[in-house]
Amino acid sequence: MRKVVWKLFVDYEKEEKWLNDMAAKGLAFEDYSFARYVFSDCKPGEYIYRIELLENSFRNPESQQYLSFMSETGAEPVANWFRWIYFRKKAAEGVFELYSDIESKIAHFNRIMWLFFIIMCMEIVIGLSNINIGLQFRDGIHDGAPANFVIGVVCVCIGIVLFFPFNRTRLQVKKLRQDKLLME
Amino acid sequence: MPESIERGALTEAVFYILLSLHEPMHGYAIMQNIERLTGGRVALGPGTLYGAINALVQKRWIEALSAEKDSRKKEYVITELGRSVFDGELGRLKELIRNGERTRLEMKGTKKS
Repeated sequence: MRKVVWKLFVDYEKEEKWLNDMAAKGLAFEDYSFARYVFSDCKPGEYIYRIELLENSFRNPESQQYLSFMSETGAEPVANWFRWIYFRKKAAEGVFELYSDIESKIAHFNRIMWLFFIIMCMEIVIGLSNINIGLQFRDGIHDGAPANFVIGVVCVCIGIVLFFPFNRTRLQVKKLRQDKLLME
Repeated sequence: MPESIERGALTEAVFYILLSLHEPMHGYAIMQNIERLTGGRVALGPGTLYGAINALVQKRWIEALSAEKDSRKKEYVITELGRSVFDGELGRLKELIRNGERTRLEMKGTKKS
């Protein structure tokens, strides 16, 4: 049976955990479009899900080559959203972690960290300039541009929300770099 | 030969990939082989393996076998250069073990006396 759940995540690690919890309950994640998750029935705990941020865009031949390699190893690409890709593997086939050494984990976290950082900066710059536009033209005759002001505030808020996953990823990278001094 | 001067320790993943590729294998077989050899201790992540294979091909320590074109699974095998790197690493590891065990023996000896 198909089941649709609407849910918005900023933190992909919470999202991954949620997908795995759903699979444990017998709901296998099948498809994604913005904030919309489609599930179908499965045996409880049949699949393990992992989310990855690709190095290149989804349609890039490099990415396609990577995806077909992953399929060979039993990691099935289930859905994607821009560069975010959702993999699943049958739990019966054993452990499923995309990356097993510190160096490749750092590389993955770095990609994610920069993505959050760039979007965060864009939101704040766009937000502040809209607030600025919104506050101009208040000369007694015109009452400014309230729409710009509201959009600006929303953008700045999104930017602030994105700071948290950015900072958490930054700390993860920092911790891994320390570990790397001692082991691989 | 600038390549042969490299002295760095190989990562565990690279060591076991080179070891596995003494006979031709595709990606998934490498993962399974390593898991079997280490009794499940080393479960190579497919993302890590993919990155390592690409880097090894670039360094020419391994090469892709293009014989089976219709097969989607690409097989890889170690090159001569890869073998010499692997042998160098084996020598380095033997030295580690020799030194480690000698120190252990010496410590035991001093405790008894």
